[in-house]
Amino acid sequence: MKDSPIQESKIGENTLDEYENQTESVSASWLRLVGLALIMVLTMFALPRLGMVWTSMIVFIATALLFKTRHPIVAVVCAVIIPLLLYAFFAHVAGIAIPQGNFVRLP
Amino acid sequence: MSFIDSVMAGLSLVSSVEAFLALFVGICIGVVGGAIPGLSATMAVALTLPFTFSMQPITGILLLLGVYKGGIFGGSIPAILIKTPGTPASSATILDGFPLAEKGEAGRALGMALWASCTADLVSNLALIFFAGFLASFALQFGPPEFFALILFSLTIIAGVSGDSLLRGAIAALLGLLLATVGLDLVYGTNRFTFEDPNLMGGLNFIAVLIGLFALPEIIAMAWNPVAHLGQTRSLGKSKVTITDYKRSFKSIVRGSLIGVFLGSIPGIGAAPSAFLSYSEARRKSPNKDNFGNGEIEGVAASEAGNNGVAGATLIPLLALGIPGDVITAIIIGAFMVHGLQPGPMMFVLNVDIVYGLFIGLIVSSVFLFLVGSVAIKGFKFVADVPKRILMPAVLVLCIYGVFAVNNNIFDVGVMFAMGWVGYVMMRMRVPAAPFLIAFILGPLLEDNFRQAMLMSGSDPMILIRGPITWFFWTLTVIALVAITRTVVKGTVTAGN
Repeated sequence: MKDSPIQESKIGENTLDEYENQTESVSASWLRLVGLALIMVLTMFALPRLGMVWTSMIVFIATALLFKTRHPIVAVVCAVIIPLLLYAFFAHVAGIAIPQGNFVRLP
Repeated sequence: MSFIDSVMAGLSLVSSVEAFLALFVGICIGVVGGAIPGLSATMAVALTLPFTFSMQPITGILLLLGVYKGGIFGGSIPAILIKTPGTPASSATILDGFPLAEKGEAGRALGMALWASCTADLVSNLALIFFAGFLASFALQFGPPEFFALILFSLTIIAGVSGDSLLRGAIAALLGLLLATVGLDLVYGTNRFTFEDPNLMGGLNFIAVLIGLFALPEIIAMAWNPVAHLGQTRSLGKSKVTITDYKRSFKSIVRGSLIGVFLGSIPGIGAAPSAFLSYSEARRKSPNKDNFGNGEIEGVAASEAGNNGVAGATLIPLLALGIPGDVITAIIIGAFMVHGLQPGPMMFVLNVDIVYGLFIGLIVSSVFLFLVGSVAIKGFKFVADVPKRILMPAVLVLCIYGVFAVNNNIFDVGVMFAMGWVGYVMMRMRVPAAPFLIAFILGPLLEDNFRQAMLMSGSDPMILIRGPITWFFWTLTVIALVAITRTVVKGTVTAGN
C-alpha cells in the first residue's frame, strides 16, 4: 500500500540523527548491514556454482526484501526480467561468457 | 594534417546514425539518472560504462559523454522540485530553485536551469575545442619529468579542494595511491601486495574499484536506512521562463560558464565548487542581491551555468594531458583505455579523427540536451515515482554483470563488493571518495613517469627540475600547497575564536 505524499514527506525529513535516536531502529539497521554483507559473501560463493542469472535473481529478491520494499510482486517480476535482459545483452550482443553454473544452462 | 582535414576525418567518423543515437540515448540515461536522488551522474556514467565495451570507440565514448552532460543537468530537477540534489553538482541550485518551487514557480526555475545549462554547455564545449588542441601541442614537449611534476600538482589540488577537510582529502588520496601499487611493479615486475594470489598480479581492476566506490555505498546506505529517500515533489506551476528572464540573467550565465570553464580545466576541482562560486559571484554583482536565497531566478541561472560550464572543460586536461579533471572524466578515461586509446597529447597525433569526432558530437550534445531536458522537466513525476527499494537491487545486479564483463572474472566482483564497503565506511566518516579514485588512476602514471625519469637520469633527482616546464609545475604545486594550508589555518583560527 502506498503512503500519502504528506506521510512520505514526514518520513523523508527524518534525518539520520533522528533515526539513530531510536535504539531499536539502529540495531535493525546494523542487522540489515550484516544481512547485506551476507548476501554479498553468498553471491561470491554462488556465482560460479549457480550461474550469474540465477544468482542475480536471488540477490535481487533478497535485497528488495531486506530494504522492506512496498511492492513485493513488482520486485519479483523485476528480479526475473532484469537478470534475463542483462544476460541477453551481455551474452548475445556483447559476446561475453556469462557464468552459467552447474545446474540450469541458458541458451 | 590540416585543421580542415582533421574536421573532415572527425565528421566521417561521427556521421553515422549509431553515433548520434548513442549520444541521444546517453543524454536520456544521464537526465533520468541524474534526476533520481541517490543515483548521481557519476553512478549513471559508471553503470553505463560496461555497455560500451562492445561498441565502436567513438560511439561508446559519445554515449558516456551524453550520460555525463545529461546527468549534470538532470540533477537540478530534484534539487528544485524536492530540495534534494540529484547529483552533488546541483547543491547550489537548491538555494534559489527550491524557494521558487515553493512559490509555485518550479516550471520557471527548471526552464531557466535548462536554458542556462545549455548555454554553459555550449560555451564549455567551444572552450574545449579551442584550448585542448593548443594545450596538447604544448604538452607534446613533455617528457617523464614534466609529466611527473604535472601529476604531482594535480594530486595536490585534488587532495586539497575536495571535501570540507584537508586531512580527510589527503588521507583519501594517499589510500588511493597505496591501492594503486597493488600488483606487479611496472619496471622490474616485483610482486607488491599480491599475497601470492595470481588475481592480484595485474593490480585491482579500475572499473571494479570505481563501481564499488561510487555505486555500492548508496545501496549499503539504503540497507542502513531504507526510507531516507522519501520526499514530497512540488508541482511545476503555471509560470514559465521568459526571454526577459534569460536576458536579465545573461551576464550571470556567461560569467558562470566562464568560471565553470576555468575551474573545470584545472584537474580535480569539479562542478560543485564551480556552481557555488558562480552563484556567489552572481549574488555579489546582481542589482537584486537581497532577493538571492529567497527565490531569485538569476541564482538558479548562475548555479546551473557554473556546474554545466565544467562539463566540457574537464575534458581539456583529459584529452590534452591524459589527466582526469574530475571523477566522471576519470571513468571516461577508463572507457578510452578499454578501447585501447590512451588520452594525452599523442592522441592528437595518432587518433585525431576520434578527437574531432568527439568535438562534433559534443557540439550536437548541447542541442540534444535542450530537447531531452524540455521533456524531462515535464516527465520528472514518473521518474520520482520509481520505487527506490526496487531500483537499488536492480543497480546491484547491474553492477555485478557490468564488473564481471570487464575481464570475465568473478574475482573482480569480489573487489567491487569490498570497495563498496570501503566506500561506505568512507562516506560515514566523511572522507571524500573523489581524491581516492583520482589518486588511484594517477598513481600508476605518477610512478611510471617518476621511474622513467630516474632511469633516464641514472637516479639523479635533479632531472625533476630540469627545465622551465617542470619549474612552472613545481611553483604551482608550492602555491597550491601554501594556499590550501593558509585556508585551513584561517579556518582553524576562525573556528577557535
